[in-house]
Amino acid sequence: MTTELDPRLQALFEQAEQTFDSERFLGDVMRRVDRQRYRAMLLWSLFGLVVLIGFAFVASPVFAAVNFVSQFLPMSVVEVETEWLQMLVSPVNSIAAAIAVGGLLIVKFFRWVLR
Amino acid sequence: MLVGLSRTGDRDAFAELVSRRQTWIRNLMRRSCGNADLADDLSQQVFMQAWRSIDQLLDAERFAPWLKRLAINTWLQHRRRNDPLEAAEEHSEAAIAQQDAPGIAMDLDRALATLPDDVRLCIVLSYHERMTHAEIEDFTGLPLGTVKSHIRRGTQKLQELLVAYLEPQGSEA
Repeated sequence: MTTELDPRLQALFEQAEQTFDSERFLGDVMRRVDRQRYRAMLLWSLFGLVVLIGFAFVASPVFAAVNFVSQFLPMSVVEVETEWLQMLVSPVNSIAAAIAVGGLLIVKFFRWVLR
Repeated sequence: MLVGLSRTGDRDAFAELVSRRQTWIRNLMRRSCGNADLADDLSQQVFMQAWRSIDQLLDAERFAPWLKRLAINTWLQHRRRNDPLEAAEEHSEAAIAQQDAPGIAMDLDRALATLPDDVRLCIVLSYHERMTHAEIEDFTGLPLGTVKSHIRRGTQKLQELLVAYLEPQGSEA
């Protein structure tokens, strides 16, 4: 694929190869790298701070909502009269279990659709 | 090893990589753009880009071609960003003359500067990087036929301009 190349020109390109002072160049590159690392660190710190402040603002209502919802989670979906049967099905017979199973089914469904 | 360490954010390993590859990338950039200062600035951009995206490089063995691709993309992006007048200034005689390059390199850069951008890129990738036409097509996105004709045209032009270097020694005798 390179049959059209002139070997004399190729030799000329080789002769024109230069060696450079690497120290200054390396120093410049690493200064830019350090500046970028510093900037990234600063941005992440700012992001963390914003998240913390945001969390402080919404923590109280979020905890109240979680508390409110959590009291309904252990409630049975279907009332079972027999005590031993009630204990047997209790892991799956709750609102929490229904939400978990529903979530799993939704994920499976989307995976199947997007396959 | 160095690539693997750099991927984890090891600064010293990356510095060693820069140190080892800088001559190659700077030469490639100088042949491509013909301006020493601009070439060094673009080379720095290439290594910065490498630092930012080295974690995306899955195969450490492919570091050199990956870096070359970054260099070519950096050059192409720079060309797209700049207007033709500015580009002409970059390749002006004055810009080339200010280089601290030996005569042969300066003459080669002067001859390369007379070629249109795409032709010069194909010539540099072909002669400097020893890339095949198919590889140049892949790297630059130019059609294979265009790559071939650019190399043919560029070669002819360089042969005319650099005839003094290409004549066999003692041919006058």
